[in-house]
Amino acid sequence: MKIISISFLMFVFLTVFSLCMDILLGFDLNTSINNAIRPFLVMEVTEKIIFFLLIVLMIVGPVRTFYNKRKKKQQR
Amino acid sequence: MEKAKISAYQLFILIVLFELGSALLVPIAIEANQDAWLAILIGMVGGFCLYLVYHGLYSYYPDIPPTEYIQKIMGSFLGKILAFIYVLYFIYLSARVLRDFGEMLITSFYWETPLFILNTLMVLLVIYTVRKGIEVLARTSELLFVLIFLLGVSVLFLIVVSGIIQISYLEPVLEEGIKPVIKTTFTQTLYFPFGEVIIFAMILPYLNRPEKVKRIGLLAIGFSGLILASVMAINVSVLGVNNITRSPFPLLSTIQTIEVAGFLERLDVYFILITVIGVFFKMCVFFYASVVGTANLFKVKESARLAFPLGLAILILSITIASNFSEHVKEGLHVITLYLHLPLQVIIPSLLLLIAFIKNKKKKSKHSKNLFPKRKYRLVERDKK
Repeated sequence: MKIISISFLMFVFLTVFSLCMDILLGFDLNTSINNAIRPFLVMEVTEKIIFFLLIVLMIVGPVRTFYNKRKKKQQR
Repeated sequence: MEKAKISAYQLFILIVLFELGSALLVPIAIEANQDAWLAILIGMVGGFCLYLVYHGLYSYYPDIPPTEYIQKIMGSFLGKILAFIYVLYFIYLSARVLRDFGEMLITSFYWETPLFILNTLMVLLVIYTVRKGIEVLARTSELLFVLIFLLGVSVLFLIVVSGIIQISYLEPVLEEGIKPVIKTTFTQTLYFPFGEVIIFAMILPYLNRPEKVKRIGLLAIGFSGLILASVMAINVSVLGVNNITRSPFPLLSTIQTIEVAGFLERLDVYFILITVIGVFFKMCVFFYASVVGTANLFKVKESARLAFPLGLAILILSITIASNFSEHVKEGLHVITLYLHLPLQVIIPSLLLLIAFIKNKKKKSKHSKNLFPKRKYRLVERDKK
């Protein structure tokens, strides 16, 4: 769970970082947010499936280790 | 930190491949027109100075990565914030390199394939390598360096044999004086690719012979600088300045013009191989440093577990970073250089070195003061006896 939360934190900060760069380039906040989101709105089905799979893979691993640790603790 | 060691030769190759990575891809220093090669060489000299700064910091703290020694120099709170900014910077640069790679493939070869798919393939490969550790990365670089070297030599041979080099394109040298060349150096080549060697501050603690760090680093920067300058000079002498300013990937255009004996042509695969290998190593080094830095900052024991989630973050960031290639390039040239490269590659490391120097001097003087009374005491005792 720690891994997921660290990654999420990093991702949020990175997105803010990227938006700041867009703003420094001369875009306003709305345009830079739109620019960031737009590539995900025009994805094809294959891309969406792969993207979804990657996210599932990212979540499944840490959650499984978390539950395994919890089980071991309970067994003790 | 991972318990691994790399040799001086492996570090040399890693630095060379890292420097060549995406610098071979894009037209660097083209603002200096036909003197681009000169701007690269001056940038290389600046790169030496920057490397000496990073090496100075390393010599004060040889066993710990920058994310840790920043906290020792600046104090826990400020140091943690600064280390976090550095980790974000490394991840951001990694995403930029990934975007460069994806755009290159789409523009020149895979017109129908989505950017997301190409970037996913690359990022999965990088995640796998980083999970295996720095030793595997270094050994892979040893293997692929031979291939890159052979490819480079054969491309050079074919370019010379096909007779497309026109030295007159490089003339007049310093047409508008040295000013534009210096300006290009300080706005571009000093930071990209030479200043980016700051990432190796994260990797230097893994070297098995610390006494060689300085020499190897300087040699590698010098070697890659010479290669980059000669590649740029060849590009200019084959295509001319006008064509290069219009070409997003000048090395590709140069290779496409090769035609030997009427049948040896369309050697685009050379370009693909060279750039894919270079970009792969550049991304791996950036990503490895980001993963190790994050693990160090957040006290994660197994840094390899961070590789997949952070890789996914890089993948998403590489898509959202810019809405098109021209925006990506403009951002890289005008915004990143001024607001990220300059402070994080030049100003902050220099300040850190200054603070580390003062701190260590104070420590030394305290140490010698502590020693001095003891000596005095001993001398007095000896006299009494």
